[in-house]
Amino acid sequence: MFKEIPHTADVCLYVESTSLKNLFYDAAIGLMTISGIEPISDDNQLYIENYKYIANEKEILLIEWLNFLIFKLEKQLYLVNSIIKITKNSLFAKCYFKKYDKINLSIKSATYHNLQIIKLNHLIKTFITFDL
Amino acid sequence: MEINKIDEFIYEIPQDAFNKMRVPARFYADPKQLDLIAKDESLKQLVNVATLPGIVSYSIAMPDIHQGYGFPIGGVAAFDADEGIISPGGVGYDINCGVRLNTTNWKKEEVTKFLPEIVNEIYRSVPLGTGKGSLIKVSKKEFEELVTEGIDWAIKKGYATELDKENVEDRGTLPVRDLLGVSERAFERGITEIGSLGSGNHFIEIGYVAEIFEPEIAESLGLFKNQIVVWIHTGSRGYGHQICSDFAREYQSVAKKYQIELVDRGLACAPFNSKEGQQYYNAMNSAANFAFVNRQLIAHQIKNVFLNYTKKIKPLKFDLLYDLAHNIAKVETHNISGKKRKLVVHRKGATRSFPSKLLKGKFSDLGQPVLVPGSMGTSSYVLIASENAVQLSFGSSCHGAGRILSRTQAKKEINAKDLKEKLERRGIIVKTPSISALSEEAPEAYKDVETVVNVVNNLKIAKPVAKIKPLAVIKG
Repeated sequence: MFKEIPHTADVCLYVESTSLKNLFYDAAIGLMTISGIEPISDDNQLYIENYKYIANEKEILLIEWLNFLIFKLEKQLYLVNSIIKITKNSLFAKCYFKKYDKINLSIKSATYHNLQIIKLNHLIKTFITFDL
Repeated sequence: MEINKIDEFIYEIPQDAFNKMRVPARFYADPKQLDLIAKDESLKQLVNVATLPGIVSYSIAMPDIHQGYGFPIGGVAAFDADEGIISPGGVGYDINCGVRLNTTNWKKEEVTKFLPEIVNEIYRSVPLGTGKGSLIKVSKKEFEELVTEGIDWAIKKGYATELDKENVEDRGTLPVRDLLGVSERAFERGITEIGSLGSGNHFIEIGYVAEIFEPEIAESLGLFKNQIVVWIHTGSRGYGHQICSDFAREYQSVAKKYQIELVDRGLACAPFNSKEGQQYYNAMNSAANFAFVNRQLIAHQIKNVFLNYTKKIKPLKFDLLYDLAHNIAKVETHNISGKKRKLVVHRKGATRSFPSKLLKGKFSDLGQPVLVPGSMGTSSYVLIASENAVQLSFGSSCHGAGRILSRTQAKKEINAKDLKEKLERRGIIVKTPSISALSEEAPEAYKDVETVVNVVNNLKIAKPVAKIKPLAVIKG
């Protein structure tokens, strides 16, 4: 799950999931939600792309993943689904995109501000600040 | 947090407020706005900046300070060029986000009748919003020239004149030794967004000079009452965002390599003189050059729209008053305790404000113009740099009103359609691709710009020359 946390200038998301893989998925869906995507009706065309990133910190993997999706948003593509695989130092995702009609909030980047992925009570949690 | 009042409008958080601080933190504010400033995380972020290596004198914030990521918005921090650092988080994702003010010889009463059509034409001809393309197409080689040469490139291609160049901060070109730190994705994003406004708080505003406070200076700047002027607020678009993202990631490990302790990952940095520090510096400067050209191209496009109305109105004179950066790190020489020192001055949501003695060329007798746009629908200000900016803020001033409401809160409290109608009832035309985003930029979401300007005026950081009121806003 994710929820938006008040931030004066930017957008902050709190994400909480049962696994790291789900956290990455939820963060991606959170990003699509706050972007205010308005899909093209009757458009079933899917664009499939494989994404891979290697880094020795899960926080870097998360920010890179979100920044990849922000880059795709600039190309008028939004994520509808993804199959994610995470190892200790890599992220692999099969991504399914669709073209959108309109986006209501343009996000510049996911930031490292106070970023920490923590495990607490069997849940994986993080706060992500996005620059607008 | 302990906050001491040092003087009227000057507040200090002492160095012992947090054991990792290397210098105290200072902020300039109106007492009426203290509660607003203390409401969010901005002062904590200001304190965090004071922990970075090589910081000189104080971690400083302007009266429009508000919460950012890593460094606060409205922050100024100077680091010793030999011992200190450079930080992408101290510049921001939108490198050289900035503002320019173009003046015309048209008067409000001559233009009002045609304004709705003019605004529609600008709205149609300038790319706005996310991924909406560029005004011009260039090859990768030309793009590399553009980001290396800045305004000189625009002159070469006929989009700017030598006169424009004189009126751009640092004459529109920051030094770029190489582009080794620029990723392919940054090039890909930049090449498709040249001459585009973007979204968020970026805007084009047509306004008129409503009040003049300093007639002689106003005349020197070419300002007169009821004159039609154009504001453009945008930056380096995806090109700058990508450069910041790339280095914010790289510097996570670079900071460790140089044993720099970070109290927030958003402060990630590298020694300025290191290989990594220089790579970011060059890449950042190239993004700054992109932004100077970006604003120039948009102005050129607006001028072309205006030219279609010369028969209906009168022959057009369209000049640049000034174009400045408010997200940048610059190498500058400042006098610290009687000694000249080379510093890397980070301004994140702060405007350079150099009085005449620090300038060469066009503004060396007057001082640098400081442009302070207000929030949507409110007045904006043209100021001129004053003497005290040098000692109080490394030659820096405020950059706007400063947010007080989060975007979520603004959306909850302000109805976008009502706001648009309210502005239109006041005679202000509003055009935007996303009506729902309007409420985020409502005047209620920002501090009172007049109070902010008053602080810098009282501290003699910059002096108001003219007040400009809006007639039409095109929001990205």
